[in-house]
Amino acid sequence: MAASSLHDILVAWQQGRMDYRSAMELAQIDTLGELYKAAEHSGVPIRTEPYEHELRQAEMVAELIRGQASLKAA
Amino acid sequence: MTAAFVDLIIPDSGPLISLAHADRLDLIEVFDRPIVIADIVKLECLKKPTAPDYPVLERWFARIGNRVRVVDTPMREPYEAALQRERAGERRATSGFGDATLAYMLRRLDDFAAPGAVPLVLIEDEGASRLLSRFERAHILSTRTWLISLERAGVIPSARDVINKIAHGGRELSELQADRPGVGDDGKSAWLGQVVGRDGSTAASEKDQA
Repeated sequence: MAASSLHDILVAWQQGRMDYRSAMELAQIDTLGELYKAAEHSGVPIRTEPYEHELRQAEMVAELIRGQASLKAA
Repeated sequence: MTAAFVDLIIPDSGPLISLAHADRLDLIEVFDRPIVIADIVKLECLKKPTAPDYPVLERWFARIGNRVRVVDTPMREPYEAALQRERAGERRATSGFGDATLAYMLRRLDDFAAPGAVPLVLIEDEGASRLLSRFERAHILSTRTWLISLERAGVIPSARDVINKIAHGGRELSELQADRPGVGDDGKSAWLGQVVGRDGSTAASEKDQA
């Protein structure tokens, strides 16, 4: 990987091309909270849009979550 | 789908730090079940008292008490030794322990979840959760997917609002920290000190969060 700017690292992190620990390593940032602050300062948006597979997985997990209430009541 | 109890297992500090950044650690507590956290996860969460989310995490760990089951891993002693070196000035001495803890926990989910319960494993990164979910019987999901799941289940009104709050929560990072150059594989920085101005696309308000 070529030398990267902080902005490039943060963009790669939010595009899913780099996990947060690698981003912290490359950016020389100690904590995930500080990584969020760096993204905010650098104008790198945090991804809010889910991927299709996330929606599918969320639907399965939502059913599990809904089921907890009935199990507790039983 | 048959209803089953869910055991929440957290082998990665990322989800806790993200939710702390939004001041929404309460979203970890939606089940009336113990929450399993690796020892390294707790240590990572509380390793830097000057970190923006430290006070929130410290309060949460103190408040939640024995609802969190902190499990021992073989990484604890070497991590604590590395943390001492890091505090003495050795750069990134604790690097790699988080990944090792995640791998260790994922290989032993049956040891941490109650018999018959569905392990629901929270990790931070979407890419890793997608990859790991192909191989594990548990639901391994990213923080974002967890939030969407809570929205779909009617626990929170909007996952996007919480994610936006994660993006903008916490205290301000100093300019020095924000301006710190990145380092390439050759150990040198090509960064020229430019901080790209915010384009306003992430400026949604978080104030309506419960």
